[in-house]
Amino acid sequence: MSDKYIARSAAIAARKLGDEMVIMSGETSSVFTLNEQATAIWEAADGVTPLRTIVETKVCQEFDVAPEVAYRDAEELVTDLARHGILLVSDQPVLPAG
Amino acid sequence: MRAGQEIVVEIGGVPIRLTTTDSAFRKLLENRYEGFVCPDSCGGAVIEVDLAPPGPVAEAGDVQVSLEDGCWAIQRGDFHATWDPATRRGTVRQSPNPYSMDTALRIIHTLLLAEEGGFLLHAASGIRNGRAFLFSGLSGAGKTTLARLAPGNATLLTDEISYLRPEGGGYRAYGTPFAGELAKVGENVSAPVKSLYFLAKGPANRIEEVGQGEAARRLLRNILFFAKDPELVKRLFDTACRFVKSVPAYRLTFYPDERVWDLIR
Repeated sequence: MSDKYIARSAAIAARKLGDEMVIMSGETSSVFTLNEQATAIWEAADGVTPLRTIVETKVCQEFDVAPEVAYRDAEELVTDLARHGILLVSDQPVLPAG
Repeated sequence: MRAGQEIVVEIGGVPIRLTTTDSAFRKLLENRYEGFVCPDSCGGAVIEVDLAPPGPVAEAGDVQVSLEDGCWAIQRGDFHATWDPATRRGTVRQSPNPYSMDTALRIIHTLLLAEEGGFLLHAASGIRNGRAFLFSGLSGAGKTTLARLAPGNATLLTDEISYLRPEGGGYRAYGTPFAGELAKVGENVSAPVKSLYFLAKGPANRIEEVGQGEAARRLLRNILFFAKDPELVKRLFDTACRFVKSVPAYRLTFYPDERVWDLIR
């Protein structure tokens, strides 16, 4: 089964406040807040760890969620973040920005 | 330049010398910024005003701010301004009206403040018991209403645009002449910020805590910022995050009568 690789865009500013990640797009100045689970995925988005592995190690274990449910939610999340230009999603490992 | 045709307008403790060759326009500025004019200040920032005759159509339009060779260019239908952050000197070419200068000053102050981690916020603010309270929201949220309901022991800083500068581990709020519907300039005083309230009108008065993430998102929505420069945008983001870490934020739902101020302590 092919997997996805995710990497944080370079054109953003991000800061963890409490349990939430606040992200600002440098291009549109739009601001996003991620909840705890989404923050765990965001923080693990190194471009080389497969999304499925991230979900298993960072979401299922930490938040006690069934793998398939967690993976489906994660796919929706990364697709949404990619649509806003703050996350890169690829079928291949993504070289880190900068 | 004829001598004497200049005034120093000090907002937020930041003096800016406005120079013009037109004594009538200087008088107009003196009246507009009454309470914020310093008779003798050695502020390093200077704006030279170049007056142009009014055009046939005075359509303001949207303001555009861009960085060109290290100098800011600020343009709107009714004025063109420049600002060099290195020399702290700028120019404004406009017709003799107070509104163009008002906008130019707001933008130049946002650029000055961004350098030091401060900002202008769409917020009414007031001082009570020596501490400043901010009431933030976009147009229609209730800023002017809340300012109008302020009790006699509160000092109004502004009903529209709050001026915030970092101080120690927190922030200090300053009065501004930038008035909203109340059409009344704020008092030229300042105080440390105690709390930030995001306004909403409702059937009863209620205060709820707001998490730092949500507070940062709401704050960024209400900060005045015009430049598209990526570095400044990132700096502003850092500033907003630092602010919500040091100042508690709440959602204030209020029914518009004076009892709402009983909750502001």
